[in-house]
Amino acid sequence: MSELNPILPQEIIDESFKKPGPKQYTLWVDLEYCIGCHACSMGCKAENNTPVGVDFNRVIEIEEGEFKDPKKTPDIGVYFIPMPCMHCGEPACMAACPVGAITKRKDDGIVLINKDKCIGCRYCAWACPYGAPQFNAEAKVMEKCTLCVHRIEKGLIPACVETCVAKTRFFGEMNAITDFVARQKVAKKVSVGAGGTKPSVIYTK
Amino acid sequence: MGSNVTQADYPMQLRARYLQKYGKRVGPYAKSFKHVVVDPRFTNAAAKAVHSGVGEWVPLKPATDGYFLLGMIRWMIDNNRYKKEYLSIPGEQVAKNKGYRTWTDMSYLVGTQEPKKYLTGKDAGLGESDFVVLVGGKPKMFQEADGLADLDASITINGVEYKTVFRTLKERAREKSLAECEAVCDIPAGSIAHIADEFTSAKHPVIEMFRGPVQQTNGWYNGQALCIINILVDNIDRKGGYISGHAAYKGDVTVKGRKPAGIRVDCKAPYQGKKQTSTRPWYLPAAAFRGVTSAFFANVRKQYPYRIKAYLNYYNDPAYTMPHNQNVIEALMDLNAMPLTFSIDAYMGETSALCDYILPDTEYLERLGGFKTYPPVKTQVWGLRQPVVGSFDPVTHEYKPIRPDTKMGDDILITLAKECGLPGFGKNATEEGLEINNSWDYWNEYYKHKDFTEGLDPKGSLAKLGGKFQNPGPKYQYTDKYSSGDYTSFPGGRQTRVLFTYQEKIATAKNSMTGSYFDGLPMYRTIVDCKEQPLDQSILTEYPFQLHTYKDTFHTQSRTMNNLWLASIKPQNYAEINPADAEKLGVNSGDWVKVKSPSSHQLDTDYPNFAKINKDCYPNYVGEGWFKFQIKVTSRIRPGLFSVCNSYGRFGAGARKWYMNGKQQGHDERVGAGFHLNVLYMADPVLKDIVLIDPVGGGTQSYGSPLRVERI
Repeated sequence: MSELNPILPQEIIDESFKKPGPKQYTLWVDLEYCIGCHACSMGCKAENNTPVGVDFNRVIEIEEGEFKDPKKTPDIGVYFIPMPCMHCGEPACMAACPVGAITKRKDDGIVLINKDKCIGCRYCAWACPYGAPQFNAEAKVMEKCTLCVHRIEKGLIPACVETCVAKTRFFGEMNAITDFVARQKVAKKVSVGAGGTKPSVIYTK
Repeated sequence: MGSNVTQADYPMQLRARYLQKYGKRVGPYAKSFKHVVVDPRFTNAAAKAVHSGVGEWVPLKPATDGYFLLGMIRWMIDNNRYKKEYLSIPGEQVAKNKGYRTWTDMSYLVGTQEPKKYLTGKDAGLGESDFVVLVGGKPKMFQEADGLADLDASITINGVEYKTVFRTLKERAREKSLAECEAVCDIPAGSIAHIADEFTSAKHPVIEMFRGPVQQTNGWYNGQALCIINILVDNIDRKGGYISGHAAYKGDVTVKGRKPAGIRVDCKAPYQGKKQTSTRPWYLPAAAFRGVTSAFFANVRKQYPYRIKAYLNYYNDPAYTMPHNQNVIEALMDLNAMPLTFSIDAYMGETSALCDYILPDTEYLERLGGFKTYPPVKTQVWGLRQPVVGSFDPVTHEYKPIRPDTKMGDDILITLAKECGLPGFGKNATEEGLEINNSWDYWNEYYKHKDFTEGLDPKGSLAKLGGKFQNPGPKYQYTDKYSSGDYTSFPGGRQTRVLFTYQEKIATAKNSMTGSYFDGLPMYRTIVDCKEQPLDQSILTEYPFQLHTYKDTFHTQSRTMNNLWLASIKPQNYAEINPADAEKLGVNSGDWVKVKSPSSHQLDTDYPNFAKINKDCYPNYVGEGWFKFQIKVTSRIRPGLFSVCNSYGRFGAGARKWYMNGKQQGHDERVGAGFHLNVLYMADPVLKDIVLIDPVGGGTQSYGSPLRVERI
C-alpha cells in the first residue's frame, strides 16, 4: 500500500458496518482511476434487474478544454464520472414528493422510494440535480439507486463497488471515508454538482 | 502506440490493472511512471495518462506511424541513445559471457545489391556460417567472434559492398529529418526529440502496440520499427520490458488427419504464375501468416485464382465487420462467384442473412471449449468454458440446448466431419476404441493431453476451478534452480536467443504486382497501394478528411449490440469531428453532413447486387456515393478526422425487419441505431475492387482512408 493514494482499507469498511446508527452510508469515487468501462452500470442492472431505460447508476463523460490546433501540444482532459444516487443530507427529491413516498432512513442515511406510495408524478426527477430518480414506464413508479440496501443489510458491499474493474469506487460510512480521504496527500475532494442538497457521495480527483 | 489498455478486452485482462497499479503509485518505479499515448483519438487510456499531469497524449495523424517511429530511431542513433554493447554482440557465447539473454543481428553484414541477403561465411570465403561480422574491420564468422563486433561499419568483398544492419538502419533513418517527420505526422515541432529523449532516459522504457500501427498498408514496417526501438534500448524479455508472449497451456490430440492441399483463395502463397507480375496481389506466408480475409472476398468475387464451389462461415460476420464490406455483400449475392454458402450463427447476422443455408448455433452461454492467455499476460492461464444453461446427456454426453432447433457450433462441425468421413472423428477416432461423436467427447479427449490430465471429469480440478491457472506469485516462479535475474521469468525458462531486426525473408521476396523486391527494414511511408505507390496528391486534395474508427469500451464489433442493456449505455453513435473542422464546415453537434470516399461512387455501378439492398442496409445512403451522417463535435478526435465508432448501424441480427419462409420475424430498431462506416473505405486505386492492403503483411488500411465531407 502506498503512502500517496491508497485504496480504502478493509478495516474502514468493517468499522463502517459495525458503527452503530445514526450514520450515513455512502460511496467514495476516485475519479483519477475510473476508466469509463461502464461495468458498474451493468453490474447494477444485473443486481437490481432494472429494465432498459432505468439506470440506477450511469457514467457520464465530461470533456475539459479544447483541442483544435495540432501544432500546439494538446491540453484537454476527459473525466468519467460515475453517477449513483447521492443519498443527500437534505434530499431535494424527498422535499418535492407530494405523497411522502421518499424517506431518508435515520439509521444509515439511505434515501429510498416507497413504490406502494409513489404515484409516478416524476416531481422527484425534476427536483434532483443529479438525475438519480428514474421513471419505470412498466411499473409506472419512480425508482432509484438504493445503495444496494438488500446487500448492505446482509453485510455485503454494493454491486457497483464489487464490480468496479479499476477499483475506483468504495463503500463505507461517510465520516470514516472523509477522515481517510483527508489524510491522503494526493486525493483532492471535488464537487460534481451544486452541493445544496448536501450530497453524501464523495468524489476525489 | 495505437494500443488502448483501458478498452476492448483489456479491462478484463491484466494490463489495465497493471496500469491502475502504476496510476495509484503502488509498487517499485511507480512514482516515476510516465504513460505516453500516441493515438489520433484521445482514448480512455489517454484520458488516464494525462489525468495525473504526468503523462502525455500525442495526437498523431493516422497512417503516419512509420514517420514517428523511424524519427524516434533517427534521434536515438544521432544522439547515441542506444545500448551499444548489447547491439555489438555477435553471438550466443559472447551474450552468455556478458550476462545477456538475447543478442541481435545489428552487427551482421548485409549486401547492398538485390536480393539483399546476409553475407554468409561461404560468400566471404571464411567457412560454414550463416552470418559474418566485422571485428576491427576484419570479417569473421559470427560464431567465431569472441568479443564485440563492429557495429557501424561496412566492407567491400569481391566488388560488392556489405554493411552492418545497424549502418543500413542508420542510413534509412537519416533519409528524413525530424522536422519532415513531424510535418507528416502533423504534431508540434520537437515532439519526436522530446519523446525519444524521455524514452531513452527512463529506467525501464518500453513502447508497445496493438492493432493501431499494424492495421495499415505500412503495417508490417510500422510493427518492425516499433520492435527495433525496443531492441535499441535492450528491453526484450526484461522485467519491465517488451515480451513476445509465451507458450500457453495446451492439450494435444494427435490424429493422422488430412493436410490442406492446393492454393488458398486469399493468395497467401508465393506467386507461381507464368507472367512476370500477377494481376492480383499474392501475400507472403512468412508475413501474412494468418491469411488475408479482405483479399479472400475480393478474389472470390473476381473468381481469382479460381472459382470456389462452396463457402462455410463460422464465428464471423464479414458482411458487417469487413472494411470495404460491399465486396463481401456483392460476392455473397453473386451466384456465379459463390454458388453455395452455409453459415453457422447464433443470430441472423448480416452475413448469415445472405447465405443459402443457416445452421443455428447455440448462444455464448452454451458453449464448451477453452480460452488461452493473451501473449502480454506472462502467467499461464487456460479458461474452461462450460455451458451454464442446457444439459449434457449423462451417457452419450450429447448437449441438449435450451432451444430445440439449435446445435453447439462444435457439434455441427463434428457431425459434418463424421458425415464426410474425415479422420479423427466417430468410431476409433484417435485410437482404437475411442469415439468422438460430439464436442464433449472432443474436449474431454483434448484435456487429457500435454498440460492437462483429467479431461472434463466433473470432480477434476479443471472442471471445478473452471480452468488451469499458474500461480503468479514470485516464489512459484523464481526458484533456486531457476532465477531469472533482470529478465522476465517464462514458464519452463527460455533459451538465449537472437533477435532479427533485418528481415531477410522479406528482403528476398518480391511484390507479385511489381516484380521488385520488398525492403528488409522499416520504411518512411504512409498509405500505399498494392504496387507500393503513394496515393495521388489530387485525391488527398479533393478528399481532405481522414476516415477513423474505434470501438467503445462496452461493445464488441458485432456480437453485443443486440444486448439492450449494453445498447442503452450509448443508444446511437455519431460521426465525430474536431471543433476546428466543425467551424470550417459551419456545423454543430446534431447537424447532418454528407460524406463520400474516392471510390464510393462505384456502389451504383460496380455492385449491381448490393445496389438492390443498399437502402435496406444503409438508410443513410443518398446516392452517387454519398452517405448522410449526424455529427458530434469533440476535441477527443484530432483535426482532419471523420471518426465513426463500430458496433452501430447494424442491418442484421434483428436490427431491421426480416422474414423467414415469408413470415416476419422479431426485430428491434434499437439494435440498428446509429451509423456504419465500412462501405466508405477507399478501394485500392490500382485494382479498384479491394480495400487498401499492406502488400507485405496483409493488414487492411483501417484508418486514414481519404474522405470528402460536406455540409447539407
